Amino acid sequence: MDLIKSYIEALFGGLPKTKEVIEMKLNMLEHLEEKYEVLLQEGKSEHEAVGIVLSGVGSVEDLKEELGIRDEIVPEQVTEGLKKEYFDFKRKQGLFTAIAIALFILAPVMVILLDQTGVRGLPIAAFFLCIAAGVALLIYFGIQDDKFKDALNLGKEHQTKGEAWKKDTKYEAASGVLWILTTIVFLLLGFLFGYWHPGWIVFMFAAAIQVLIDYRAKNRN
Amino acid sequence: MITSDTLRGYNEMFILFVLLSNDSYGYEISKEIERVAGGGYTIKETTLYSAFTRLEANGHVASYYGDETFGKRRTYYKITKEGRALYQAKCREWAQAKTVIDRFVSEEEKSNGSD
Repeated sequence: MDLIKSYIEALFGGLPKTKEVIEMKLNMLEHLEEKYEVLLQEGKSEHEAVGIVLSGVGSVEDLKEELGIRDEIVPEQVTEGLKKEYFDFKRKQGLFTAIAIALFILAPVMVILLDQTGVRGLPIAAFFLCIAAGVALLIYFGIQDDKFKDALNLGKEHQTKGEAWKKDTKYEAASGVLWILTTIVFLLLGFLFGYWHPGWIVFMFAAAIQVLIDYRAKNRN
Repeated sequence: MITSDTLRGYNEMFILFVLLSNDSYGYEISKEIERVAGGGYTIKETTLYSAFTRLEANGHVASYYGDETFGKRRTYYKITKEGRALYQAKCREWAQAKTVIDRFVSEEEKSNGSD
């Protein structure tokens, strides 16, 4: 009888614990108990009786169809809408990531162009403005992305995937370090050696390395 | 043995049929269905209790607790007026389905397929 009980517990395990479901479970347990006792009275062994009872219970799909679908209609629609939004967002994110990278590349170019105006401080101001705008874009879309992932429970999935998720963050960190290093190298080249030009080329290298990082991150997953 | 998939939609009719004569509870209803079916069909418990839930939600049956016997409090089901109407509709539906499906039964193939 314990075996039948735990089987039913497992069967109902994935269902929402509404009054309806609990009532159904209790009714079913009582039903199976009676069936089991009648089989024993008919001279079946305990093992046989449990076997016959459990083989006749049926699948959890019947229950889900009756209870699950009715309960899940609303959240499922919400998720569908969210998924669409997330898809649109992903396209936007791609575009703005490209713009951010363009800003990083543009930053040193601005320095060279504005250097010729002779206005002191303007090239550096423009440089940092471009970098700041790029970083702001990346951070903004990164946060939005996390929000969507949370809402869609994608984050949890990532965490259970464990290693893949860790690698993802590893690659993200790598690209963060890459751009900061590139900026430092560029500033050092400029201030110490006056190589604003062709020092800006380091950003081209960084962009190339970024593409490589993205490519590897995608392939690992 | 016929599966409940084949009889999809008719399990409710079986239950209502049993309840036409008198109120009953889960185990007794399943036994009765088995008896009437003549051993050709056994209703699975998940199918049975899903059907109870559906029938009750749609007002085709009403449930009440029976007297406690040996410490067991059984849920009894009673057919409602709407339930009776559903049973009658199901009977008509089956009559139509039977006429149509019979037209697709080839006597020749049926006997050939038995080997």
